Amino acid sequence: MGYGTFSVDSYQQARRDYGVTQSTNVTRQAEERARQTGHLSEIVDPAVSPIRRSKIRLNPRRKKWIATLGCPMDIEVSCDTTGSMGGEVDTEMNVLPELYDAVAKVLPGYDPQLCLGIFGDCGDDFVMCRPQFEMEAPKIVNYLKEMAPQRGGNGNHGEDPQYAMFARAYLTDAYTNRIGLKGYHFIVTDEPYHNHLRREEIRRIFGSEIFENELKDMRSELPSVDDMVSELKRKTHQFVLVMSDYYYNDTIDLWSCLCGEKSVIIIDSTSQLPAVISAIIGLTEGTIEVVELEEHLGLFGNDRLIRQLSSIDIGAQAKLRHALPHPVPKAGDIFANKGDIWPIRPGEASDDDKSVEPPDRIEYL
Amino acid sequence: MLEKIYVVTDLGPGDGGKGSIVHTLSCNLDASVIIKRGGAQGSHGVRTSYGENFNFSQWGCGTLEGVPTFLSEQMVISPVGLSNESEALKRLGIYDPFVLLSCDPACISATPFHRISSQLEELLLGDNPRGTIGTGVGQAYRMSKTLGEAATIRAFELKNREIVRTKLQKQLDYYRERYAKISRKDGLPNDAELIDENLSLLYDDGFLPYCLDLFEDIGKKLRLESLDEVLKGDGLGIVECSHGVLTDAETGLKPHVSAIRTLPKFTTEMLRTAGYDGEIVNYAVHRAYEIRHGAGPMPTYDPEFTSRMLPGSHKDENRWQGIVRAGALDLNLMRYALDTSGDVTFDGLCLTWFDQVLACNRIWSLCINYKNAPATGESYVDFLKRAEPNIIEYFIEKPILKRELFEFIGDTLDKFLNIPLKLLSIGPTELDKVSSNKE
Repeated sequence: MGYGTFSVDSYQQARRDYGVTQSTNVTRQAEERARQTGHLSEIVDPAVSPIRRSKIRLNPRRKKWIATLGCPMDIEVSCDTTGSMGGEVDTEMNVLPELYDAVAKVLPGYDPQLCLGIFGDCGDDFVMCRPQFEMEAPKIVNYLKEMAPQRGGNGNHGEDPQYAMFARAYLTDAYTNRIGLKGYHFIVTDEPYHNHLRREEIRRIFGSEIFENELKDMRSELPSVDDMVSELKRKTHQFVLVMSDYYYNDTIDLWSCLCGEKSVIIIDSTSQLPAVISAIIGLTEGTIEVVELEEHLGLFGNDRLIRQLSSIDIGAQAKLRHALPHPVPKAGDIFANKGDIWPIRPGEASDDDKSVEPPDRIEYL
Repeated sequence: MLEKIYVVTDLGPGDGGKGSIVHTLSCNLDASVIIKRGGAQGSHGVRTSYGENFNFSQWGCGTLEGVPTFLSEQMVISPVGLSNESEALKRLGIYDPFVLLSCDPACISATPFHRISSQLEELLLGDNPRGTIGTGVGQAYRMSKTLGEAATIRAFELKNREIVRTKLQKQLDYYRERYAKISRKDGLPNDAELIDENLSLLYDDGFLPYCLDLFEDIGKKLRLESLDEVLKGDGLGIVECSHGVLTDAETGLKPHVSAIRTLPKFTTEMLRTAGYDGEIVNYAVHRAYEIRHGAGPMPTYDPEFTSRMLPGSHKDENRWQGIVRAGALDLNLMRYALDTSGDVTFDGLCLTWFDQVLACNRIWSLCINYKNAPATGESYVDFLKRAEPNIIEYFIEKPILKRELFEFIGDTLDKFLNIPLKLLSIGPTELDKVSSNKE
C-alpha cells in the first residue's frame, strides 16, 4: 500500500506498542477509565470534536498541492455494543487488517479511510464513540482500544444508532461529498432503533455548544429521523447489517421501513464484516460483479447472503462517477489551492499562474 | 533575497486577530514564507473561504495556502505542540505538515517540565494571578537565562537522545528541588487537584522516557535551516509574531507580561542582523474593540459590553488565562503601544472583528481619552486600574458600502491615532477583508 497507508506489520506493531496483545477485552482499560472519570477518551468522544473529516491527502509542491494518494473513500462502521454485542470492538480489532485489505482491493486507486465507531443506548452513560477517519494502522488500533462500550442497552426494545447516523449526516466533512460521490455508512446491530432525535441527547453526545456552533441551522427545529436518513442517503451508500440471531422479530421490518429493503442485510456474525462490507462496496463501485460474489465471500457465501447482496443498488457509485464533471482525482494530481475541489487539468495552468482578482462588487453592509 | 517583508504585530495584549490577517496577506500577496517569532503557545485562528478552520500555534497562518513556515531563533518551540499540531493538520488533509516547516537550529525548546513549572507558578499566586497560557514557553526562556546551555535544549539537539536526556534530567532535578516543599495546600482550595496533578507528573519516572521518545521523533522530522538561507528566497515574506506589544517583557503592562520581547524593533533587528537589506513593512493588528483574556489592566472593561459582543464568553474562563473581558476600543492603550514600539513606525493598521460590531448593534465605541490623570509618581499600570474612560459612540448607518465603511473608520483612526488603516476585517475569511489597495 505504500508509505502511510495500512499495513499488517504496522498493525501488529501498534498492538504491541499499545499493549493490546489479547484478542479479547481490548477496551478493558478504557472502560475502567471512563467509569472512574465519567469521560470518554477525547480521541473518540464526539463532544470534544464533533466534526469528523475525510480529506484528500496533499503535500505542498511549488506553492501548489500534490495528491499523495488517490481520492479518499470514507467508510464508517458503527457497531452496536449493547447486551450480547458488547464484545464487538474485540471483533473489529481482530478483523481490522482483513477489513482494510478487503476494502482496498475493491477500491483500486482510492485511499480508503475508516471510521470504526460504536453506539449504545441513551440510557447508558456514553451513547457513542466516534473516532476520526483514518488509514494508518496505529491510529485505528489506538482509537479502538480507547472505546468504552457500556454493554448495557437499557432493556427498552431498541438502541440509539440514530445518533451515529445523525453524525454522518450532519457532522462529517467528507471529500467524496464535495466532489459529488458518496461515502459508505454501515450500522451493525441486532436491535431496532428509536424513532426520535432529542435535542438534549444531541447536546449530551456532541457537546453543549453544538447548536451554537456546528448545527446553527437546527437551533429552532430538529430533522425527523426519516429526514435525517434521507440526508444520510444523499451523502452515503447506507446499509444496516443486522445480526441473524436478533432478539426482536420486528428488527428487520423496522429497519427496512426506515432505510429501504435494499439497505438491510442479515449477517450471521461480525467476523463476516470484512467480506460483507467489501462485497457491498465492490458491487456499488462496480469493481466486482454478482457472479464473483460466491468467490468473494468465500466461507461466508451462503445463498441468503448472496441473494441479499445481489439486490442492492449495484453500480450506484459508478453511475455517480460517470456523471462527475471531472475524473475522480488520483495520486499525483496537482491542486492549485488546498481548498480546491478538483485538481488542475494537464496544461490548464502554469506554475506562474496567479489567481484572478475578483471584480469589485458593490456590497452593502 | 526576499523582495519585501511584512511584519505583523499585535498592538494589544494578544487576541487581536493576527491569524486571519497573516492568512489574508498570504493569499493576497502570494507570500513565499512565514517567519515566526515569539512562543509556541499562541493560537492564531484561520478560517478560509473554502470552509476550513484551524488554530495555528507553530505552523504559520499561510499553511493552508501552501506557504512554508520558518521558526526563527526568536521562537521558543514546543516539540509536544509540534507533534499535536502536525496530527491535527494531517486530519485537515495535509499529508506531511513537516514538509512546510523549517526551524533555526538555535531555537529553544519548551518541555513538559517547563509547562509543569509554569502552571505551578501561576497556581501558587492564588487569587492574585499574573495570567499565563500555562504551556511553559516563558519558563523555558527564563531557564535559558538562569541555568544557561546546561539545561537548555536547542532544536538541533532534539534528535540526540543522550543530550536531551541529560538536559531534561537537569530540568527535572531543578524543578524537583524548587517545588520540594510545595503541597496542595499552597494554592487556592479549588486548585489543589491541579497542584497534585503537576507534582505527580514531576515525580513520575515514566514521564521522562516518554518525553525522550517524542523529542527524538520530532528532532528527526524537523528540518533545520538558518534565517539567512530563508532570506535568500524569492518573493515576499511575512513575519508572524506571537503575543502583543502590551505584553512585552520590558515595556508591557507589568506584571501582566510575557517573558519575551514582542516589540517590532526586535524583528527588524533580527532581519538586519541576518543580512536582510530589503524593504520591511510594519503592520499593527488590533480588534475593533478591546479584549483581554486573563489578568491585566483594562479600563474600558464592561461586563454588559462583553456579553453583548461575545455572547457565551463567560464560559470561556480557564484557570490559566482567566475570564475573557471586552470593552470599548481604547485609543489610549493603542497610543501607549505605538509609543513603546521603539524606533519602528507602523506603516498601517489592520482592524479586525468589525463584523461583530455590525452584528451586535452597529455601535462602534471608542475611548478617546481618560477623564482623570495619573498622580505624581504613580505607575501607568496602577493608574490604568482606576482610569475613567471617556467613551464616544459611532452608529454605523445601514446600509453602508464596504468602501464607505473603510473610509469612515480610516478617517476616524487617522484623526485620533495618526496611523493609516490598511485592512478592515468584516468577516472571518480572506474574502471578508477590505483593503486600502491591492494588498
